Amino acid sequence: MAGRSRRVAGAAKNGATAGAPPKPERRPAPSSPREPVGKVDRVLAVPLSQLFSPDPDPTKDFPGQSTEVEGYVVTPGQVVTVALTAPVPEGVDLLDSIWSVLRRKGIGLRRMVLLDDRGRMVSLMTLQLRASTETIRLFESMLLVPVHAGDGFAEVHFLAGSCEVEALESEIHKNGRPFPPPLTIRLPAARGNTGLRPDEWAFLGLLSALGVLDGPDGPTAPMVAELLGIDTATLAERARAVERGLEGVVTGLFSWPSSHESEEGVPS
Amino acid sequence: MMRLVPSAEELPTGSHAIGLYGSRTEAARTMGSFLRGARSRGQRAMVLTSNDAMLTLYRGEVRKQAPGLLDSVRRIDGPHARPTPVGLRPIPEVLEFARAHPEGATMSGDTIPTFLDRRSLANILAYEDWFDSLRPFPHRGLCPYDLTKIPVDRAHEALERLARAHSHGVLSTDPNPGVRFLQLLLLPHVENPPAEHLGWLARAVDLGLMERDRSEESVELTPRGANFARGLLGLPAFASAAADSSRSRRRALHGRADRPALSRFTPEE
Repeated sequence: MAGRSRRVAGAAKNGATAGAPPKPERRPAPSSPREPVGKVDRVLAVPLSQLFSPDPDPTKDFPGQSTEVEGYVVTPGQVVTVALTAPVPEGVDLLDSIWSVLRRKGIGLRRMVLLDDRGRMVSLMTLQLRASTETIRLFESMLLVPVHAGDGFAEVHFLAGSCEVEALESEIHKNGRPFPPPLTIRLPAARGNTGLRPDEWAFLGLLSALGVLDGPDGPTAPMVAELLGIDTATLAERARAVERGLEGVVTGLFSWPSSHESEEGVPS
Repeated sequence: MMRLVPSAEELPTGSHAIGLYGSRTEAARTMGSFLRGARSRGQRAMVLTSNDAMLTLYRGEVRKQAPGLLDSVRRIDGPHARPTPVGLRPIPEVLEFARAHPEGATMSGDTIPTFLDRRSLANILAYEDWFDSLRPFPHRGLCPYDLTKIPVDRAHEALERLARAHSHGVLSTDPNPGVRFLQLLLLPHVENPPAEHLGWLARAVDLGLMERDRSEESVELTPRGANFARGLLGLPAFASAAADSSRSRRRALHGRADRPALSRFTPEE
């Protein structure tokens, strides 16, 4: 049974809605200069039952509770380190239960827990995925964080064109693990992405969840590298890639004159 | 609604203003400008700081911008607003100075950013509400705020409340884009937002970094926008843009560790 960290009392917002799949409210937005035309934020409400099968979906044992996948990094061998967060104390049991199921299935390799100063528990899990390299690459190129999950569903955002979503579904079927058809697809209803690729947003989210960006009291570089299962050179390389992406966002944000705003919002 | 002015010198009598900054040198320049305004209005001035480095920087700027008011800058031990049974209140020295100048005085205490953190934020915002309730008064008051120290996840709440509790404001011109980005959260609560900033805000919403609430009366950071801000404030390439940031946020992701790892992580098998 997974251990439990010291619980810290504190108010925390619970964003889950019990019962029906989550309904995000987004408005249309332009695509960014860094992505091909046609990629939009597609929101899928994905049932979690098959993810945890044959074990029951642990999120259903905690109605009204939810967790956010804030970031992740994929390393060779289909190993992914992912940061889940939930408010303390309400979400602690949910995070523990998710870990228990994944560990029992042989997917969960290692876990670290952190109590951050935002009243949250961060569950940093290292998982051995049972998916092909190609499938994982597709996810990395499209999956946007955070992923909100609870009450049997995950609200998953993919930055993708329709062909890419078909390619992802095809890849998953090829691997013999049919992906349950998404219950709801919200068509181009979201913001455009920015200068960061989805996997770079995911890495930034991971650094944020670990408290690396919050000031001098966070974990050091060697500690972060060890937690993520990468070496410090790879950590530095990924951090620089994120910085370059952020520079692109900054350029797009602050050099975009308001007089050039159009319906499409595509910079000339 | 809060009114923006281009410099602290222009803050009028009767104002209770915030001065946003992203670096110590910017904070000092703003304070020098604030005292220049005191000189032009013939007001006595008081600037209190608990930080020796800021004392030196302030005096350097005051020598340049408002010579003759050098004695206005004083060092105190601890915060210029301290806990009382009814909340934070200014230390007696501040209240006595204000009473001694019923014609109006120019006053500032810079200690709030030093003591601002997640735990103290609510008390500080309540203090600002209380202070603003003292208006109208003949004084000029400046409350400096370090944008790099406001917790990112509380930034929209903090900036909205600060805007509502102050009559005037001076925006930061810090080169760190994270500072420029976060202060966009103020704009819905400002009487005269600059057109360029409004354009940036609209773009931030389009890029999914900020979102308007249903009433369109305020904006918040989206989760991605919050991480964007944290990245700009916390990653070395951007933190170095403000080399004298009052709070060092450089993370040693590119170099060797120079401090022991903290034991905030609990490993589990």
